[in-house]
Amino acid sequence: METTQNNTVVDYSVIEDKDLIKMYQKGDEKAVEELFSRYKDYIYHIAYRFMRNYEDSMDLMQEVLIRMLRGLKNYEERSYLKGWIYRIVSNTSINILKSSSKREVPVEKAFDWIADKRMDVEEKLESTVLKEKIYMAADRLKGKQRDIFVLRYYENLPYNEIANILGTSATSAKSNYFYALKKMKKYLEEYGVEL
Amino acid sequence: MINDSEIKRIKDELESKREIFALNSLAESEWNFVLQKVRRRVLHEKEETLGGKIIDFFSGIFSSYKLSLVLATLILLLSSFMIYKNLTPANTQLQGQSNSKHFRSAPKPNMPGHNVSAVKKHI
Repeated sequence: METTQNNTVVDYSVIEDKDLIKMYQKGDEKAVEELFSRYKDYIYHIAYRFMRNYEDSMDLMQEVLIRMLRGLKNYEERSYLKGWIYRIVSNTSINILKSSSKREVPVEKAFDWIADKRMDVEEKLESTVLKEKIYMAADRLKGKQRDIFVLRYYENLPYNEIANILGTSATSAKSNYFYALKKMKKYLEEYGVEL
Repeated sequence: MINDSEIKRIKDELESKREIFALNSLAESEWNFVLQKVRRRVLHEKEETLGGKIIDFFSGIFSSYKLSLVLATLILLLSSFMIYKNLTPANTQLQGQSNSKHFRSAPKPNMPGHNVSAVKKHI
């Protein structure tokens, strides 16, 4: 609950996304913060899939929120909001990665679990290496296949949700996912992973 | 050529490893940190002016952003007032006893205030 300038109490949590956007366009900053907090995990998770480490994901997240603030000023409810956000995260990450060599995860970050004595080191090492190999293989996927792999494999979203996000059909999303898996098998074999 | 059952096997195999990619939700403190940074950046973009720089300076000293903002606003108001005061008609006229170095004219030779002997000694 928030009190506005004219002392009216507004419960932002019950307001729909599209109305929050309209309120922000009229100058209500609290409305956009509510909208952000609804999608914070979605943005963070997608950002992490592209950047693959916490610090860079947090930086990317800031950049995405800034771009959203600019974009929401003129946002018209034509596209699915999650799809619009996904495109911002994806495009921003591509720009960042192109302009730097941030893709490489620092060794100390990838293996920071070693300090945790409760972990079975051998098992953890195996899964960390496999994880990196899957990330590397997925990075080689292009366009829609990459997007679908990110949303389906990492985020475990249903095909109809993916279709809405990417502006395609559920059938197309499903067949693209299968093509992506086929390529993943090939790429992973090159990295010594047998499926 | 991979057939459908082969793809299903790959899918199951890959998806059985999905749990290693699980991510936690952002903690409230992490989220507030991001929001705070975004708010600051937005303000900076809006005010890439002297005001913005003053806020920056105070933000480095004080942990409270609001306090920095208040101090920066006060400084801006004070400096605006000083400038305004100096530009009022009474102060823009040259006055013999003015304290303002900027508006005091240099004493001319053969006028009271000009130290002729000192100049001669120097020569």
